[in-house]
Amino acid sequence: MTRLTLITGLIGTVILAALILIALFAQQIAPGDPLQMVGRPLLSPFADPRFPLGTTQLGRDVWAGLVHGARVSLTVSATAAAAVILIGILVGTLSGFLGGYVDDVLMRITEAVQSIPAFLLALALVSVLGASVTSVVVAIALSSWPPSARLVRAEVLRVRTLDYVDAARVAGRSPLAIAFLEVLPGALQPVVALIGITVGEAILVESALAFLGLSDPNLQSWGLMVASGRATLRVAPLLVILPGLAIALASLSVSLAGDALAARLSEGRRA
Amino acid sequence: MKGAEIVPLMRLSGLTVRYSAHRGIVDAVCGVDLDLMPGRVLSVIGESGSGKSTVLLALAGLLPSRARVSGSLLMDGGNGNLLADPSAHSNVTGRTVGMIFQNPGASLNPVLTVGDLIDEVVRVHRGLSKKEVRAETLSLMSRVGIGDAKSRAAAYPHQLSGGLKQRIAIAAALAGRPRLILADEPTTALDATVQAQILDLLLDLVDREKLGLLFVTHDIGVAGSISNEIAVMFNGRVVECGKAGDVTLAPKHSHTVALAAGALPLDLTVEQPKTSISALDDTAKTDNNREQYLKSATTPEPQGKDTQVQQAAKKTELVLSGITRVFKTGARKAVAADGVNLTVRSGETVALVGESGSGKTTLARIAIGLDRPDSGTVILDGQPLIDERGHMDRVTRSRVQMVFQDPLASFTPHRSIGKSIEVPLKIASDLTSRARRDRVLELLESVGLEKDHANRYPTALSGGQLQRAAIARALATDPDLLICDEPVASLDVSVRSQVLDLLTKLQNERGLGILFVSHDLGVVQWIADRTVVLYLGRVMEEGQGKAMWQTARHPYTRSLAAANPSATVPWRERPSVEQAKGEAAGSFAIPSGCRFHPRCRMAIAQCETTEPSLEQLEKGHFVACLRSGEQLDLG
Ligand code: SF4
Repeated sequence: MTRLTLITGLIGTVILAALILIALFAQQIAPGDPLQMVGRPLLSPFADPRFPLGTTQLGRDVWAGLVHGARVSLTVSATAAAAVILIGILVGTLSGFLGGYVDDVLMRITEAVQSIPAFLLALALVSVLGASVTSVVVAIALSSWPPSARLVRAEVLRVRTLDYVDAARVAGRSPLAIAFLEVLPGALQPVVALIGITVGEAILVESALAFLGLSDPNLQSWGLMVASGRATLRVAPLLVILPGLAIALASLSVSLAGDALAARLSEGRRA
Repeated sequence: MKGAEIVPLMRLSGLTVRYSAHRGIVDAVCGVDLDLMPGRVLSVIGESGSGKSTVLLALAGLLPSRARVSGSLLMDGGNGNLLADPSAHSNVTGRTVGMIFQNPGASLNPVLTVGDLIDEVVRVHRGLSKKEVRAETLSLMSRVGIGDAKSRAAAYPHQLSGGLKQRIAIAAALAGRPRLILADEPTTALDATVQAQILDLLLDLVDREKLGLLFVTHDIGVAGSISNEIAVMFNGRVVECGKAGDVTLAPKHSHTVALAAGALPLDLTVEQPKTSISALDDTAKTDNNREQYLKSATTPEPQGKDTQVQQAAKKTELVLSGITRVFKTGARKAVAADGVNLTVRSGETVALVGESGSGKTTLARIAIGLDRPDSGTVILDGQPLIDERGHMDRVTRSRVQMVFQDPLASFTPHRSIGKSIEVPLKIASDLTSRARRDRVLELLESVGLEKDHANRYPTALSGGQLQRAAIARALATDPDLLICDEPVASLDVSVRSQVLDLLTKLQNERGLGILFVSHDLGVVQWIADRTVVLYLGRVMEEGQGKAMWQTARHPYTRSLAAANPSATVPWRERPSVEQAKGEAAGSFAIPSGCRFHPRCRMAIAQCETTEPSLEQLEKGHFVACLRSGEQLDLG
């Protein structure tokens, strides 16, 4: 691992850890409902010690919004990313390992899904499923799995030709056991590298959906904050900039940490 | 010519190459001195990690920049130290030094035709006009023995066979008119008969053009037969250096002794009873037991109280008959097996010999059910190995096991050795996990490993240890037959013999039948009771015992034997009349008639049309050659 990856990885991990802590203890850090009107609208930051980052045009506490928004963004994107990778692993492993007809069918489906821009597909899905956190997770999962499926498939195709897979066949393992106990673990390493990117993307998609008002309106999320801050952009630009920064920081930290983890793993593999 | 004194072409003294790694400083090479005179061949031999390749890279100035190099290198009587002045090197590389690598496929640029490729090198080193460049290229190509250079020049590397590619690489190395050729295992990746041709070419060049050849290899057989001098490296130092004959016939350093002992040369002269081949491990003197065992195994009623013989009473027989296997890629068909019959019985070792593309590995895979033949049957003790639905039942599965070529690749990387050995036990037996673990330790012990190895991961073991573990895994289900696909080919020579000893020892104890796939004739001669020679998917000859190679009748078998370099016989003194011509056509285009006829020195007109069948000459000796009945007087 180069020095740079190490440093950026550390920075990413620290930021990510901080965000996770904030999300976990949101209630303790900023008690109460962040959607509640708590003060005078459009207070500027530092004007009132109770609202360190000021209030929105609806009199909501900006700090509380950011803190609770972290919870929504991180849970939604982590769940969605987990689902993405799970689907990817399942489709990729079956496709790569079984080959032939199954592979053809699965890969055509993958390509069909991939040919539609992920965000548009997610948008369409949410409009059908209705605006709720669950439908956002489902929409992201169903629209973003193709790259991970293709990656897993490529790795599985490589690994399945290795001698140890034959050794397992000679030992009498069943094809499914071989696929998931022998081949898959060997193919997982590049998937780890994908986790960072997938979570980062999920954060962006979630924010964008919330921005468009397609996420749960009863939950304060960063995207929603940007959307509502838009109206007062000229008067109080910070209402857009702060949640925007939060989104950028979250997705950046996840990617950096993910990269470093992947580099670390590949080094372990070589040693 | 001024003086009578010959200046050395290359004088290397005190070469030290040092890397600073995480765990401190590593000396890859330490104080190496080498001299090479024009017109002579110096071989540097050693096992992996001995530093031999590092020396070569240092000479060529190709070491990575983090390597710290000290010492002096004088070329051609000049007095500039080329190691101290790397910029002088870039001029030298390719001009007075030509470099040949192990894998010709990887060292040639795939997007250029071979003609353009050599042109490029010629242009860089010599100020010639475009027309002259191509003329020079063509003459270089014919110098390395490429007939029809003009049309070959238009080919891309992937269109050429391994031997031709290596010839092209040699032509490119000669383009700068070097006086010194550095060769890094240039024939290791080639088939035996092709290796012989490339060695011929290199020695011709050395003789004719008074070049110096520095030949790096792990193979003491090749080194001994082609070199004038040999330097043996171990742990970054030259431990022995001298005239080739002295080093190979009377090695002084214990490491050279080990290398020479492990090399298992093909013995074509006298038949002598061999004891343990391992120079390092003489606890395993097994061969005598083995002969005894074989005798007792063939007597119908063993009277011994020996449990070994008891075991052998349940004789197992795996019979492959009429096996044909064709691989189709698009419209092309590669014939891997074409009507092969093969039998392996318990207690005997059957060797499958052949060059790449002969189908030996495919046959081994078919024999264990990893691959299925297009036609033909595989019968284990009267029962088909695989039923009509393509299944192999648990019991059958546990009776035939396999040892793979690359031990590291054959272990699941994310699982400890012990757990890997447990896998077949879990499937084939109903043992409790406790009992399984005990069995694993028992198995490890039987192959000479420690208990502690069970908890380690594959990358933490050496090649030899891993192959022992692989054997332990194969034995876990107490099989009757073992399929070994080149089990020692990826191991260092000194470890090789130990693994072979282990195999024979286990065979004696358990009465195993072994199907042993190998391209190494020395190994085969040592281990095999019966040897089957394959060429392009068909059996050419089948013979018994160690004498098989002396009494071989098929021209292909004889060419294999003749191509096998022996450390103690100078290359030029081999019977070269027996060498096969050219290279195998590849399994995509099987020649008509006798498939060996394009390369056969004895071919007659009939050979092009009539396919010879495998006929018995004497008991246990089968030959597929139209002229097998005639008296042979070659060599
Ligand atoms: S049949 Fe003819 S071509 Fe084939 S090996 Fe015999 S002599 Fe050579």
